[in-house]
Amino acid sequence: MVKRKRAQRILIIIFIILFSLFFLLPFIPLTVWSFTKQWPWPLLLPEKWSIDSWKYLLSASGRAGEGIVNSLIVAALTLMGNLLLGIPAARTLAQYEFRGKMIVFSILLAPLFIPYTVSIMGMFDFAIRFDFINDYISVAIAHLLVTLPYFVATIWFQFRLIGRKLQEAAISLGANEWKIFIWIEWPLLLPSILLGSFLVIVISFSQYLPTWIMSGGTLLTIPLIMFPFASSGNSSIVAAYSLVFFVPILVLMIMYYLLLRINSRKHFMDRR
Amino acid sequence: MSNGWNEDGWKMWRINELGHQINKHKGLLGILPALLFMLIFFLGGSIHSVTLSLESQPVHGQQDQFWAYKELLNLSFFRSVGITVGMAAAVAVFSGVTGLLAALLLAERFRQWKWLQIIFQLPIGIPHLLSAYLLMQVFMQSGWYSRMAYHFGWIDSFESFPVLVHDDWGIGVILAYMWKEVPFIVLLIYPFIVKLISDWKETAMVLGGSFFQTVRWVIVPILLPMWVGGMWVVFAFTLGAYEIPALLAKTSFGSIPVMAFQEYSQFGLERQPLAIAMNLVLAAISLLVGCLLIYLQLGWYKKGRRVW
Amino acid sequence: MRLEKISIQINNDNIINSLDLKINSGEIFVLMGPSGSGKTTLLKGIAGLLPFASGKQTWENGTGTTGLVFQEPRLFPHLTVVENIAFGLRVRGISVKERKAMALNFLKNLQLESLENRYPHQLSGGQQQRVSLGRALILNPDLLLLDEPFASLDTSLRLDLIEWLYELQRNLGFSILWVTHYIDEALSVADRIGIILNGGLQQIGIPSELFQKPASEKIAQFLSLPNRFSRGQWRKWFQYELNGLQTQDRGWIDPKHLQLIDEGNRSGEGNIEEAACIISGFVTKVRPSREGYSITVLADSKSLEVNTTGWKRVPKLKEKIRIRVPFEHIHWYSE
Repeated sequence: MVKRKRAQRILIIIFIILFSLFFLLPFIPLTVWSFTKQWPWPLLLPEKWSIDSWKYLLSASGRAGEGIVNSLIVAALTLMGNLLLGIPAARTLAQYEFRGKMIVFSILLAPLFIPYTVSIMGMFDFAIRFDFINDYISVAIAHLLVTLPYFVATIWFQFRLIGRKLQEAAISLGANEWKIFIWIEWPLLLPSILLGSFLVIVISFSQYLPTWIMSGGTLLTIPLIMFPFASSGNSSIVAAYSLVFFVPILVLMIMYYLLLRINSRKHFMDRR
Repeated sequence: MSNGWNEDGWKMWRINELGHQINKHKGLLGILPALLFMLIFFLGGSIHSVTLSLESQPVHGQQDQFWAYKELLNLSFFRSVGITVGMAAAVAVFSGVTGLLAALLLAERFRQWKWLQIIFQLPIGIPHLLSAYLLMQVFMQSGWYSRMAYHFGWIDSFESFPVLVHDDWGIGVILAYMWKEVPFIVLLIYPFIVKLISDWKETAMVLGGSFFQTVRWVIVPILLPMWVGGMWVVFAFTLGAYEIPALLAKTSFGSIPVMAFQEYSQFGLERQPLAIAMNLVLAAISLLVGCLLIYLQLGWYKKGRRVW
Repeated sequence: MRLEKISIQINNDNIINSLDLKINSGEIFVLMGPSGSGKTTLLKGIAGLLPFASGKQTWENGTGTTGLVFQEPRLFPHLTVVENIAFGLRVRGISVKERKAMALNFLKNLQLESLENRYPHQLSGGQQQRVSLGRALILNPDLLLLDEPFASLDTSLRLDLIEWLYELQRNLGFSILWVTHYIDEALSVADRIGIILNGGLQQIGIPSELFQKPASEKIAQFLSLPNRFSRGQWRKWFQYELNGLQTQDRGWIDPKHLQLIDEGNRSGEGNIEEAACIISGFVTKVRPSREGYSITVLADSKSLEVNTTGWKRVPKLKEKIRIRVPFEHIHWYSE
């Protein structure tokens, strides 16, 4: 019995360690690769280091800056769309009962459950017919299609947790809809809006196919710049690009945790 | 006299009633923008795609509306469908099971170890393209793990390291997907598992149940709809995703998203209907699987079972 | 079952402090205490959900089993009534057929026949709590632990279930450690009552003892005994030295033993026996009760509760009033 328990413990620890390594280890050679051009097998670390890849990246032909700017613009537009469309939709779904609610919900979440490449190909055809539409906007619309389900689901869940009780209390104290939202729902919602926004930005950053299709391969966000290098196997440059890619994600993550901290410090509700 | 008063009252009542009706349904307006967006772009885009794929083009001098679909009616495409669906299913099931296991362990054993949770959720922020590249440069025959194996003395040339990238079985593809999707499943079900454990562990323990029994008989059954839903999301995503098979599968692997994108981007406008047709097949398969899952769940509910 | 010098800690806080308790077989022991006094913690400790920091738990026959029922039914939402009841049997590895038969058989005791295939959300609150009790009872625990089992039900249903469980217990003969904060619930089932304050048992006794001789002012306060005054105050009213142990320096009297003396009928005044006194004051509050009126009287800046019987004479606010206090009905206890 005791032996079995110990065997079980060891098994659990091995499982956890293996998975942690599986997730973490690939980052080490990635970082190394960005600082070398030659790294023959079977060396664990290269003999010659170089920063050529970084130089290339930061040069005009490297287009790292352009890629980041493009990615950021698209992500910001996508996030705006999510906030505008997602919050009211999630609120209605969480707080009202109406006929056909399940169908409406399914339609909003559909891109999660059905591959969306087909619709994006159709959307691209729409877009070229109205060719005055800016590339940024049309790509952001495609990203909005991909991210909206995640955002709505996240916010919906938080609305459900909040429930209607506080709202009813506020109504009974004479607050109107708008005040209820600003004073009561928004502060309680903020952590999940942050999480949802984080997800939206990260997902928007990582889209390759929708970006390519919607812009006809012309709007160079970071994934679009990286892909050719990755498939041609130029390890050093891809590695450098990848690291560049992590910077905004890390910044976002830190911002998310900081904002969450500040928010929870403000809320005496959480600490009971 | 009294009649007139009544009529006024009646009008007032109607106005009030109208206001009441508007008020009652005002809350529903919030859903409209998002719903319209999805209808126009998701549904509309799909339908528009279908009409595009049906545009007749002169093939061998003949007008044929369905040429794209007819071209797909061959054995090698069926084989590709089998491979793509099979791989998506494998990724979904492996990620689902591992993710559940990991979430359970994190929730029960390692709840205080915040950094472990960060590790298990780190890949969420990494795009698929990068995950493909990350795993490629460690799992290749000349990759980092093979170098480690050499230094441990397990192999003496890189040819003796197993082929995991561009291999026959898509192992590299599955590994790369799992690297991304296991954390997704953990992120999805972890909060629910924490809640379920706090709700039911004591109750089951009082009745003599061990933790393992609690998991098998209480937590997993209650979690089932959400867990299966998560696996469906992974399945649908894997079915349609391009980056990982494009980088990690061998050229003749036959992943449909890769083939479709090649048709779409490389072989000119007149081949685009073919790309659309291929992707349509994938969408239809996912829809079919989804309908099956929903049907099963409805059957469950009909028996009176209600979980959430 | 016997507990000796039990202590339980949560987050290094001593919730239960060196507590002794013995529960006889076939007995209903009711545990009462204000919220935060450690009742639930003690139950969880006995049920094995929380570890004892020190002390030991022993059983008459060497070992014993417990069943714990919570305030909420906590039925597994994905299992039917039968499956819920059979859960503990399933844990013990009894085959499907056998455990189903046992559970179906047990439904009769629970008065839940014909509901076996319902899911929890299809049952009423009372039915759910009966299933929850059945789920624990089918395992034949030596000691059933109840944590305010009926507190979330409405009064009449609560009374029915108390009666039902009492009958069931007298028939099956298991012992119960029953936590409640309802005094009426305690009185209607308890063989003995224990009062827990600040993690320790302050008094154990049969119900009548508890009211006649509360062990301390704190317990008297918890039981919300009315008209509690110090011996000194009583002495002032009686105007002579009172009999009884001087260590018992407080006394309380039930409102129904205090009599209003009619101003019109002064003849009674001469009749004062030795063991009574008259207090005069004025009415500050009047509320109707089941049998008459419940009056609050302010006398010598102390509030007294007085019950009158009959509805005819309605006391008025600020009315000057005289009350007769019979000495023999004052219960004395120590501070």
